[in-house]
Amino acid sequence: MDLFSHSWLPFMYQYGFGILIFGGGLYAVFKAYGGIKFWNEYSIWIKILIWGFIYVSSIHLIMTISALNDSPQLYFIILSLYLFNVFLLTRKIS
Amino acid sequence: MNTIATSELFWVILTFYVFFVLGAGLFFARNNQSTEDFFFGGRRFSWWLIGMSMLATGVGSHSFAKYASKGFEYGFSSTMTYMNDWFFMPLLLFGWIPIIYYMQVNSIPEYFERRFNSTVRNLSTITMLLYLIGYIGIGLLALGSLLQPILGWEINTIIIVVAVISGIYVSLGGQTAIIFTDFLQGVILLFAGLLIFGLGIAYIGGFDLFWSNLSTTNKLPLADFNSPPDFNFVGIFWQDGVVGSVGFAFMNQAVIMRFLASRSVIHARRATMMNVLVFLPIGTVAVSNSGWIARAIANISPSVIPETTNPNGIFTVVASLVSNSEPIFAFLVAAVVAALMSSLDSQINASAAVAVNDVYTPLSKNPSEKTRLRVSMFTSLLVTFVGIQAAFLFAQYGTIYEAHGAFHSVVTPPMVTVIFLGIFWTRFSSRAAVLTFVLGAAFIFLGIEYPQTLVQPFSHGIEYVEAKPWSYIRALYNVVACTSIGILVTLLTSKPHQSHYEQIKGLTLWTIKDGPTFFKGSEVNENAGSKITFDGDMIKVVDDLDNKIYLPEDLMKDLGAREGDFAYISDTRWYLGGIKSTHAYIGKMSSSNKIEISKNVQNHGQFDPSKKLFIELEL
Repeated sequence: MDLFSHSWLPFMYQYGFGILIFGGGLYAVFKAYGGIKFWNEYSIWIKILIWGFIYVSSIHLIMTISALNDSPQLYFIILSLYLFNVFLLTRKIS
Repeated sequence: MNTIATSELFWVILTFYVFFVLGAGLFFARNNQSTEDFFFGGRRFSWWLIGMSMLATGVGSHSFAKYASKGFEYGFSSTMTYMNDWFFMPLLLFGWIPIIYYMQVNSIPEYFERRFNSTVRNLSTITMLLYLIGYIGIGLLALGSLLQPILGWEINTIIIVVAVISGIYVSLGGQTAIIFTDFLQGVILLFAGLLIFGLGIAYIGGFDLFWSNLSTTNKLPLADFNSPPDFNFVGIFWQDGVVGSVGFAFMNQAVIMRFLASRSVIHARRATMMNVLVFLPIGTVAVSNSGWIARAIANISPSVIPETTNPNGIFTVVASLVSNSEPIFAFLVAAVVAALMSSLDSQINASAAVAVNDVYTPLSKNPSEKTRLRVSMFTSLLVTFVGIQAAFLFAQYGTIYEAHGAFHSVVTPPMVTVIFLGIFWTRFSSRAAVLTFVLGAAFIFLGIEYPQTLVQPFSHGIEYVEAKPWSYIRALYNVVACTSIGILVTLLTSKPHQSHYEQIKGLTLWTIKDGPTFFKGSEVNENAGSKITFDGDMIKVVDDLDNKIYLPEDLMKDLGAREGDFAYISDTRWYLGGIKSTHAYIGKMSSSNKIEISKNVQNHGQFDPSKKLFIELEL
């Protein structure tokens, strides 16, 4: 059974448009806040924003691989990513 | 209709829970001294409290009905709409949140009046009330569907009973009651959602059996690209993932009020981040997994859960099946009631905020604060009543998922388009905004009347169904139509006068740097962020009607503060979440070695002289 239209096609569509919306938004904010000044003042927030994108796309990527290869063990990676995420976001951010 | 058998114990637990929530509403009602408290909780809460409250607002009982039903029919792809909010985060965290917070925008229609004109405000008020009352209707209908297998009553009766309880509680408690009970309800619904997963896995006989009794397509995280018509990836991506997500984060008054109830922009950002990256992933499992469990059970023993089971009520069916004692079943049902109450209360309060700020106040001549508060409470009851009518209307649609999807894809696009173009394009004019609303609505109506001509080019190959033509993907057509109108009208009309750019200072992404200065009323202090802890008995309450605090000379120096700076004073106990805190302007230097605060500041902060406090220079 060909599962491309049920797995990688929606994945590519979602993250294709996703990177356009996310990247466009980040670029607009970067310009509006004065370019390099934005980086200097908010570098921790920018890192978290980029991490968030990687984290969410990784969950979908791992879930897709896990389903196609019948490997539920991969969910441990998702759990690890989640715990790391909790650790990261509960630290002091100002 | 089969009714699930319950005993007195079940009803005792459920009744206790409902009275507990009503009691919380009454308890916090004493903090409401103004509409500022009633709608925004005094703008003082910590990120973790706001974050969990946002989850409880987003995860309503409609989520348990919607996502569990799709989990039962299609598997893990029921989670897909909870996992794509992050795309909009740069614009939300650094565009929209600072704009509404610093510019003290109390409602979206108010933003429209300041950014455009009163016509745009009126048009957006109508859209906003439709949107919020629709949300209330969907929530009531969903809870009715979930409780019907237990109560065996007519669904309309359940809707009325739940609406009356929620309406009374919100009318009394306001935003503070909502935030605190939402926090508790958020924890309960997450716990209950995960508990049902654990019980379900145990019922099936272990994780291996659960996994092996789901097909590969059941385990994929995204739906098939363009089929079937009632649940396909591309339609739902545009309707729920894009329009729904933007609508929820940027124009849902209940969410806006969470941002405004935060103690600062940083706390609003952190709350949003925690909600999307930490709470929502658990939330999506919590609301969907009863459907997955039901799918596995149906595959193993079709006689236990037949394929003909109504998907809308699958949560209740699974909860009754897998809970091995009545208290657990009662707890699981109470959690769904919690989910409904926590989203319904927010939407009712938000609708009342729009009705009071954008309908009552502009029409009446300088109403007193007491009158406004009374009108707020009355309006909460009124919108609940209208919400009941909306629920009856949605009940005729079919599945809750489709009813919600169709409603979202039609009501949201004009508003979302005007917000986006308004924030990110300074040239976007009032005339273009009005025409985006009016012509946008006309094009949306034409799309409903002539779908094969207008919506078909956007269909991505999704099959045409006469009864509900392209109910999800029409959101893309609606957004493209509204955006095209907005852009074309702006480009075809002359550039706004220079004074236009002066008027919109702080109201767009490109003028956002003016926001903190506008909020404070003077230049921001470069020492903002400095913080000092002190004993509560250093405070002396003085007869002063202003919202001011007077610091001794040494404290002013240590803090790097100047007269007119904006500060946050709070009890140091973090777990209070900001309930004993307030903002105040720093006045002239104190003549004594005490920290002098006005009665007004003490009333809001409710500081305890025996506890440690801190003061932080905010702007």
